Amino acid sequence: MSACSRWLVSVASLCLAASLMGCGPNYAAKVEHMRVNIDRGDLNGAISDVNGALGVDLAAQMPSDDQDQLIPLLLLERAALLQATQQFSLSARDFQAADARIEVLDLSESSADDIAQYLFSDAMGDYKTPPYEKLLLNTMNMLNYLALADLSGAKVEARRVEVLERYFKDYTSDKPDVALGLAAYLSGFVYEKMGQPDDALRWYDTATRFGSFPGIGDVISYLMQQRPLSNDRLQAIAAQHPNALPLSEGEGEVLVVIASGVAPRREAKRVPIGLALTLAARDNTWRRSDRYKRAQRLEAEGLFKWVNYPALEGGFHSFTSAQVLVGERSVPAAMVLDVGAQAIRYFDSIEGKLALASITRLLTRSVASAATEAAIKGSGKRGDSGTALVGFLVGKAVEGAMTVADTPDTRSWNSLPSAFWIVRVRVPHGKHKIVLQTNRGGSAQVEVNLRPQQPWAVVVLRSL
Amino acid sequence: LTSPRRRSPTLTLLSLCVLTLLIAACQTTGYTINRGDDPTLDEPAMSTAFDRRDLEHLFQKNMTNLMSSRFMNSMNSVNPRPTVAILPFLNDTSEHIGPSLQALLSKIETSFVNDGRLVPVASERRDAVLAELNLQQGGAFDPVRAAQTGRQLGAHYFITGKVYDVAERTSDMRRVQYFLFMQVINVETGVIEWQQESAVTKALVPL
Repeated sequence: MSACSRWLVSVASLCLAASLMGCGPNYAAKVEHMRVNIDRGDLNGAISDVNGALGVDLAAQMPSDDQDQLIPLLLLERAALLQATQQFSLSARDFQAADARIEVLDLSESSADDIAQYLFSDAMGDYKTPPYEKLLLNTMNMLNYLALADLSGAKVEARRVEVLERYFKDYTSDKPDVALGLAAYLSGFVYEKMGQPDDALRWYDTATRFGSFPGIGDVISYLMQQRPLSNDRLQAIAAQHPNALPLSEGEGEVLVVIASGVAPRREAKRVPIGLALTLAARDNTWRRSDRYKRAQRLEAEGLFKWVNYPALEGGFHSFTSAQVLVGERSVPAAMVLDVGAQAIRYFDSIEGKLALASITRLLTRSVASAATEAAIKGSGKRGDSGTALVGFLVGKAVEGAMTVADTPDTRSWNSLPSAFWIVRVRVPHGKHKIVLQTNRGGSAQVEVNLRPQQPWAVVVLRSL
Repeated sequence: LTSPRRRSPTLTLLSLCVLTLLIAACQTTGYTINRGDDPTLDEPAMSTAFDRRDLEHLFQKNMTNLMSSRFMNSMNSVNPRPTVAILPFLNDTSEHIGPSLQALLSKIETSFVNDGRLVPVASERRDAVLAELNLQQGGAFDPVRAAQTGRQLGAHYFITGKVYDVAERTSDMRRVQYFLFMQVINVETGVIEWQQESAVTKALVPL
């Protein structure tokens, strides 16, 4: 090979290194301040942090850079925080904007992204929301509209849940996500309050398949009295609550939904290749492949090799039991969705694939380094120590750049609550003080006013 | 014996470089949004949501049909001119189109004023009666309640309707068909004097 070719190989190698340096944003690092503020309970501070990440000064402003692939996720973060601070209209706007963007990202199946994930970095490519996050986006936005007493807006979100439910059923092999239970319960509530018992019962039926909701038996029973459906499950539930009565004249209803804690988040982690091999070995095809054998050889040679890898960490429940005081009455809150457990289950299901991708990247780096070194050495005269040194250095530069570019995918919804709790209680029309008291000393207080034209209220609280 | 062929390290390296550049070039999302096969709607949309152009399109189709209908022709010589109440339209879609539907009411009112054969009830009066009856939220399309509202407004006819959608999603596409359904009902007799439905399709499809 001529000196010219040697230069060409060196320049190509360094270009490869340079082009990879800008890859893979580390999301966890980008929202680190926000995470700290959420954990401290400083929600306004956390909103300021997300505004900064979005490139705006105020929560009332929307980001202008539509090309930034982190914007949908940052909008989700801000939407949940705005809801937690009772800014329901702004939260609804952010959820809607995030939903539209995530939908586009979610539908895009880029093979370039898949290749990039296996060759260079986990964090390359678009953010794909897990099923429970998709459902919770619409569920939490439904809560915004319910808190604003806007049934029409809440019904739109219920219909979006319906589209998702059909999609999961018809186009994915996944079992329906348990987050569908809460979404279905709230959708049932929306249709019930709109005076559409058929649709309400259909949703309540779905809700009871995924969890238990306090008082749902009574609700199903009196709705079945209005509109008997030929549904064996609903008839059986109604039969267990023969004395259930609809709301009487002058009576209203308050639904309190408490979002508590923070769901576990993805953190960047470096793990030894041995551990990654164990995780990746869950995949039978991979276990029989040449790459698996090569990775095992690396491990057996005792080479100090690490792989970059995201792990699910942190997350907490802010209480384990809570009471809601409505006037003099104290009603226990019931946990209806453990988001944290769902996040862990989902992560467990994909961990093998993540480990496999990280090992493949490690092997790619070794191959690229060796190939660079060999190509440059081969271009010089035999025994030319100068060429050998250049080959070694450029090879290491390529491997180093690829290692730096290999960012674990820490993108996840960091402001997502770890659990949802509900209380549903009947009260006379008029003003009522609603107080949340938790076993860890947390408390919150709001006032509702039930009128004949608006005999229901939904109170949405966040406890950290 | 022949030794297995070894891949050239230069080739391996250059392949990696080319692949990197290809990946960098392919990072944009390969999706576009179209509005179905209607050649008059060739302006690209921002999303599958119901937007101003969709509203304009469906509104024009339905109002053109209404203004040339047998019902409207029968109003040519009626004196004094009958009144019509324009009642809120129901949003039965998976998109937040409330503001667009409010805009639709104003457009219908303008069309009636310019046409001159029916006199629309002032929107302020209509809104006050609706607020009194608590009909702002979704229940407006119920024909019985709508007839009550029409009577309370002293209207001879009322016009109302709904926008509904058939939304579906597959692994690589989301498609929403929007339908604008409108009808004119005689407040006194409950007879449907005119009705029409038009549709527009929007889809998020691979390029």
